[in-house]
Amino acid sequence: MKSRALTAGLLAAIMLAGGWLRFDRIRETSPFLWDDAIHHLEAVWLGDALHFLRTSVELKRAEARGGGDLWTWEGERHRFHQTVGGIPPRFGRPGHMVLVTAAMAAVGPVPWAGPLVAASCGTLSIAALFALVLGARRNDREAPVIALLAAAFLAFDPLSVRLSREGLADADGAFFALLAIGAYVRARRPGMGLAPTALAGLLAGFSFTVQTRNFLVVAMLAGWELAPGALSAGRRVGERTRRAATLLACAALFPVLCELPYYGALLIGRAHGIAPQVRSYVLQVIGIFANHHYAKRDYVQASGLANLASYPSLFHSLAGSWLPQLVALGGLAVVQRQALARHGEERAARLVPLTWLIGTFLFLSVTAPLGRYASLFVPALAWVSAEGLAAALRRARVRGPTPSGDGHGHSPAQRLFSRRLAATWLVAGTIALGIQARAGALESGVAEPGYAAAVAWMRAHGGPRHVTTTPYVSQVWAGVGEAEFLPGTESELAKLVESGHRHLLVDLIRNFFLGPFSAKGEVLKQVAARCPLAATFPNTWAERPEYLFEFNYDVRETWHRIESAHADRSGEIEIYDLAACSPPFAATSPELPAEP
Amino acid sequence: MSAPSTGERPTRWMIVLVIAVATIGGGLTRTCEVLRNPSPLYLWDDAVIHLEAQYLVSMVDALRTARDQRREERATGKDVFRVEDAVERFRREAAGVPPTFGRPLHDLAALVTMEALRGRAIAGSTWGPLGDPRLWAVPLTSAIAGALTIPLAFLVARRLWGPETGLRAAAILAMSGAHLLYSMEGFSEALLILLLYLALWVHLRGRAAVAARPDRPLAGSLGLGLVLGAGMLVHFRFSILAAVFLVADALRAGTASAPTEAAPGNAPAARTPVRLARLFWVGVGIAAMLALAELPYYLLLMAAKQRGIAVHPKTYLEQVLFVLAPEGLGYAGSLVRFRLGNLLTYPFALVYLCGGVVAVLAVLGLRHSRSASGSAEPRRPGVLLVAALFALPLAFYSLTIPLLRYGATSFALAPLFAGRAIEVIESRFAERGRLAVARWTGAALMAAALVEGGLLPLSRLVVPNGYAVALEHIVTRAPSTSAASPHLTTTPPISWALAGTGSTIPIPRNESAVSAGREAVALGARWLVVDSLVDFMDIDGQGFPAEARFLRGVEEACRSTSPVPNPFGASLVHDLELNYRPFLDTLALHRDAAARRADLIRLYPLRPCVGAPFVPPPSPVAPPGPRP
Repeated sequence: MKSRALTAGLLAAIMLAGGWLRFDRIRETSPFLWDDAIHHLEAVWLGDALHFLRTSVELKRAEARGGGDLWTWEGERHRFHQTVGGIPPRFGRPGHMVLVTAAMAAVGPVPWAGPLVAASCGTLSIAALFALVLGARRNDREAPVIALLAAAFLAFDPLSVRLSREGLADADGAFFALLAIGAYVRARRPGMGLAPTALAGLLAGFSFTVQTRNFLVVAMLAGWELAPGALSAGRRVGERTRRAATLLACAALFPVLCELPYYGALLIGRAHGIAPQVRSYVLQVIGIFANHHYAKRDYVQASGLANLASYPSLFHSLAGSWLPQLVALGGLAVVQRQALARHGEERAARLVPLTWLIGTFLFLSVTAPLGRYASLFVPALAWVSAEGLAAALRRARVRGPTPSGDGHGHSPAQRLFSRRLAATWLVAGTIALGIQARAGALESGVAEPGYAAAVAWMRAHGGPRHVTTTPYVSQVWAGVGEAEFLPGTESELAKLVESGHRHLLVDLIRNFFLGPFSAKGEVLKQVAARCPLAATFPNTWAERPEYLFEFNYDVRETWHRIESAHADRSGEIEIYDLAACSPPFAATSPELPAEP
Repeated sequence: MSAPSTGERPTRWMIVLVIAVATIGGGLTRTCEVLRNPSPLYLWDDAVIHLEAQYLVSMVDALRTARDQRREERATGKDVFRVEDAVERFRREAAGVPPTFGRPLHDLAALVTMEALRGRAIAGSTWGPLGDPRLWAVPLTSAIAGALTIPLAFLVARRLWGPETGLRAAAILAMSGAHLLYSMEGFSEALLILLLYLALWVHLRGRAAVAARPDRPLAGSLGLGLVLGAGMLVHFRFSILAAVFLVADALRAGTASAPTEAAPGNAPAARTPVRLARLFWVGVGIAAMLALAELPYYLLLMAAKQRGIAVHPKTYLEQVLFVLAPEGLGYAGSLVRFRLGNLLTYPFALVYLCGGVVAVLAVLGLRHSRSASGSAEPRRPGVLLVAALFALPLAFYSLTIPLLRYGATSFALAPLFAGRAIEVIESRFAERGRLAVARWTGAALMAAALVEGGLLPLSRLVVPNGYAVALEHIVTRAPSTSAASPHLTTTPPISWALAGTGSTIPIPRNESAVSAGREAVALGARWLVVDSLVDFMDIDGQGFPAEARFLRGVEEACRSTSPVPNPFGASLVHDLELNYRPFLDTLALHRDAAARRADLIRLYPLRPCVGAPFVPPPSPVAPPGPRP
């Protein structure tokens, strides 16, 4: 009982510390990448749409009470377009959108609603990992120590802390993935029926609706269930197949539920002769997978095996040393050795973090090793690091030969000494990791994006309507109708100028106008040559290595960008005055040659 | 654990032999009767299912053509295939009507049978539609389903009372008049009965599995849900039976015996969370099947939206909402018009269809279904459910709309109880040591049940109809041999099935519709086809009174030429299938069949009447629609 209370107290302390790192100055955070800005705008749309529905129902009731002809299809359509802001869902992550909308319902449509969800889920992930490790090592007396260590590693992990302060779908995606894996690990226990497996499937399915990349979690769970050998938990093929089918069927439930509103809208629209123009959830997901990096072999072929260096390089950038990765490597070796030495459930418990870490690491490394994607295996990394540290502590406790020759039977003084040593290890390691993460978090706080200031400046100098290289972030601050993506031709740009788009906002994205977007790069060159630079704003996140890994399709290019970030002025937002260009852009100006 | 036996228990080979004979014999009887019928479609529903299956066949053909064109395109590099062209061609050439009846699994079964019949020869007729063997597909589907039900009846009865009762039940079912009737028609009832027996078997297996492994209390629940869902896809009326299964599952703990007297297959009492979990998984199975039916529409709509093509067929859930929900409201309305005499409908029908012997034995078997009274036999798990499945639908429909076919699933369970009754009677004699009397009594009762319950009713149940002859009469007198002249009819689906969907003109409903009808006559509509259905179109101002008045107006103004014999229209089965009136009135109407000329299909040449002074009174009511 006493040790349970101690464990709970330590977990609470770790969560408090982790929560502090995640929630500290959360109100100063805001969207600055494309994805988090899109999620913010989608959540605004959903919040407004729900409010519209409520008022529409009230209007209908008022009409039913005899208030005259208040409600008409046409009138409601018009009111919908007038009152609903943001952008309709397009990113195939309705789970995340709903969570951000819920946060907005609580704190208002503030830019930090997304980061608030991430911080909450990031903090809860610490407890979820603790529970997962405890569940996997249920017959192990060391389990609470390992679970606490894993929780501490995750709490102070720089990448986890960073992602928990951003409005991306990665922190909550990782949280629900952890819940799914935790439920699955419990479902694997001998004698468990299908219900826990179904629960794991449901959670995995929900995590997929939060973050499409979590299809890997669904695949991983099904793979563990179907895998022969040590992971099979002694079950026969038929039983494993039935359990895997249950898991997959349940995983499909939430995605299907997400599609239903679209289908209902389609049927109702068909009955009223209206064709909804919104892409349904399934089409969004298909679009994501069809266009995503996983489907683009070019990336894989171009980068080759060099991308395997991506994540080690990213973690080195984040931590500023190789030490955490060495601990993790040591942990991997320990877990692998333990897996070989044990049998049955104990072996399976070791194989889970091993296959989770190696599988996702390799898949992402050879497809699209973007920084935030690592959120899928960071908890596994924390787990194996904890195993490594626990093994080191074990060795520290068992010092020198004993009368029985097996390390047992130390004198009380020896035990006291070794426990002290272990405690010292634990405290020192935690403090070191905490300081390191705190430093990283502080630095993140310093690296504030400059979009709010840039849009405020434009608002004061001729209005917020502008052309931009980063449309969704601009729309968060200026409004959806006030910011247009930089077009690919001068004549289109001239039309935008004529329609009142006074300024051009240029940020880091200009360095990524490649391939199909290179025409925009040419227009940008013309603007830089012909229009005066009206203002610049610091945007320091954009020159920090760990953020440049968010564009990492080829690690060699990323290294090059990191080296030249300062020279490229990546950390600046530039505002060009489009109304003062010489010569001015005209709708009849000759088109640039089309891209081959 | 069965009742005292009169002799040796049947061996495995004997069981296989008897079931094989019953199945093959029963199947052949059903198939031969279907193929002997020169005009296999004769009511509204079977014709609609035929038309829906025809539409699906057209769709399969269009997909095959598209696949071939895509292959050709790949092989030659020519631009052969365009989605828009394929859609336009399908719209132009598709036969039948799109599914609207909310019975996708019946449509699918009919489609499979139609595909199997493609290119085969059945009838000797040279007239177009009767030369197409696919016209027999829908009743043949029923025949196949009917034959497959026989071994299932054995399996169910064996689990309930043992193999001897199983053999008796299977044999009686094979020759049961009610089951024969619905195995030879194109209604959904034969498939419903098949799925009812399948659901019973899955349920009983699940109970046995739970009894064998109490640590797995959810065994079989998902499978049961899938079968129940499949039944609802055959006909949504199956949902009443599904509700009985769900209630039985929920109350299973109450029906279970105490552990000390637990019988084999009797599951221990379930805790409430387990019961809820079972209900949940049964519900998941049902929902999965309904979702499966909706899925093709979803894919079609999404693909059409992507291509910018407008598609109009009602989705499955829309069919359920727009076709079946009104039917539910119809039941509620019927409750208001309930007459006490309606309670006699199903007892009468049971005797009429299955014979008096089987009816009496069924009641006796029902009485002793759980355990023979006064005997030390343990109570049988699952018997109460079968009894509820037998009695509750009869009670429900007696109170609402007691149509003959609505009792078909209950009639199909009667052989189980009849078999049980024979076993109980035998055991009574055996208990007194009179084994020979027991054996001979059992044999005599079996013989009586088979002859009086099946062979004798069969002769009065198989009644020919005259639709094919009537339509042939119209077509062969049409100026163009390509299709029948457009005509007005009381049963459009049969005309559509036999002469094409463009062969009829809706019966005018109001003044402007009358004008349209006259215009149609001027455009070439030559005939009015009136059958005995006209007597059921206006029942106390309900139904289609305006159409009925219009038809009677035509009948008065025009002269029928060469009426076609249609004995089916004057049969009691026909009248009981349209038992919307109080039961006793229906019987009175049936007695009056000859005076009503119900045994004739009257053909009226319309052209001589175009100028005649008939003006039916206007009444804005809905057109006659299919009654699901």
